[in-house]
Amino acid sequence: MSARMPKWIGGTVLVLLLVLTLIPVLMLLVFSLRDNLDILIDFWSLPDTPKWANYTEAWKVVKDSIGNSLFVCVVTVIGAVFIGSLSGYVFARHQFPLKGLLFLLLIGVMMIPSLLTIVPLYATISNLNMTNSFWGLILPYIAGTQLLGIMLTRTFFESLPEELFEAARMDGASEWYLYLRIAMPLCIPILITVGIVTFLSVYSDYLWPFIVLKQENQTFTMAAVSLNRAGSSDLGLSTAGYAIGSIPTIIVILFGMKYYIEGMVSGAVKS
Amino acid sequence: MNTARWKKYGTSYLFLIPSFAFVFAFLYYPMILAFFHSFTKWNLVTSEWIGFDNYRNMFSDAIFRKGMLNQLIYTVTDVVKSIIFPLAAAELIYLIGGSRLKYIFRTGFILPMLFPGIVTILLWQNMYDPTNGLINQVLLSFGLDSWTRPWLGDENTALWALIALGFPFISGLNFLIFYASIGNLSQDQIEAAKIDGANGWQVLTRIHLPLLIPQFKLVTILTIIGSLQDFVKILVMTDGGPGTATINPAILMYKAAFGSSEYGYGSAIGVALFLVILALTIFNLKVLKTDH
Repeated sequence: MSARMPKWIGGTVLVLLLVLTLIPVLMLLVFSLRDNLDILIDFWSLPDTPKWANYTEAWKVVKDSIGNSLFVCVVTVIGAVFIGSLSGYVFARHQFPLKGLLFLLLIGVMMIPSLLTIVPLYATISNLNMTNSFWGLILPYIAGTQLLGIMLTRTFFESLPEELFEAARMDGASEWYLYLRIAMPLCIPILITVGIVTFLSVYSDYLWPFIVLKQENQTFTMAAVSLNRAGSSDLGLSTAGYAIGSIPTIIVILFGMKYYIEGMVSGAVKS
Repeated sequence: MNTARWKKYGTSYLFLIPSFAFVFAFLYYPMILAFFHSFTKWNLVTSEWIGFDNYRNMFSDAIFRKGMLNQLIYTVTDVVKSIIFPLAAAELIYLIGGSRLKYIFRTGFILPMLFPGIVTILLWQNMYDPTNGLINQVLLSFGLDSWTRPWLGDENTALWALIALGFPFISGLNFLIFYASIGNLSQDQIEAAKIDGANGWQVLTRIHLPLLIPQFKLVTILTIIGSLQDFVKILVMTDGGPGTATINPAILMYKAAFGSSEYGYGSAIGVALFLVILALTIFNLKVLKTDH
């Protein structure tokens, strides 16, 4: 019995930790279906009749901001995936002078902490007249997020057999064709991985949109914060707003997990 | 470059232009601006060279020194939080065993990662609310009325309320790192130790922990670097207040630049933090290199 004790205690601690971990999520779900006045009167009761009106009200408040966030995310993902894989292709399949140095110049940027560039990057964006414009977000985001794409696609493209490209070159295919029609389609799982990481980091960013954009062009994270500011007065509305705005990240993570595993499995089968 | 060489290499360089254009315009150029303007008084339009004045002001400023002290507390607690809780959860999951249970717990612990980080921060802000916040409500229901307080508005509790944000600190990358590493530990040594009569605690302290040292190093350095740059939760929850209770150098940088338009001074704080992070990164690379 005493040998079983640690397992029993361990299980209890684990359940307790899990409950504590999930409290914010539970709070989100329960409050988003409750009337604010009810919460003030009786904090602990569960929603007897779910107040779906919170969601319809919150949708009106956050829908524009979610649209803005999705626009910024999609353009950034397309830009980062395209530009990153183009450079990844060149570094993997071409030989040219200064290759090592140029690669270091790009990847070395990862050592620059974003904190250092916040102030001067704002000055740059402001000189380009891109404050309060989505391009003031998208262009710097692409600059930073393409790097992961360069590294991952370079490794992948290096593993492809040279005959694949040689044969197409014999047929007179241009480098552009080799990249777009041969290399790109083969690395779609990697591009999706890069896309998912990029999407999640851009969608969740609060600081840079808060610095660059004004209220009328706000992203979801900005809308969530202002919901909270106004919303100590209506907890039901604000939590419903957070829930709606979390749907894109939930979908991308769930969809992405499946794709990610599929990519790994198919890779394992081929080799 | 002659025509033949250009023909041979031209396409390669041409294809690299987009990447380099973005990196130079939005990363290298701002970095150079930061270093240059850390020696100037700068309002984004005009700047005036003032030598090391920004740096001198920084270290003679009592608020900045208070920020450094707070930062020390944030960083030390961040490191403790990022190792102990995720590691304990991962070890406990392996202790209870059973592949189905393992899956349920692992999934449960990473579930909050489905939500954008800002949502978690805002929910914690609601929990700290003086009237309808979860924490005061729990205290009230246990009859501990005298313990209730405006956690974020009280100078004595605000810093610790920010540190406690995210309790029990499991959900996240560190948990996944520890969980995967423990799963990959070689079972031979552990089985041999068990045959020799080692109990679970001895297996943990004598075999698991020494084998996990590379992961501890990785998580520690990433946490320190992240901790020095982290000020979004401070910005959203307390704005550094009440008074200077929760201030740190990063938010002082933000406030100098975007609050009082002292972009030169803000740049200087950014450069100082960068140098600390750079030193840590180099130290880390050397330490990790001697290990493998």
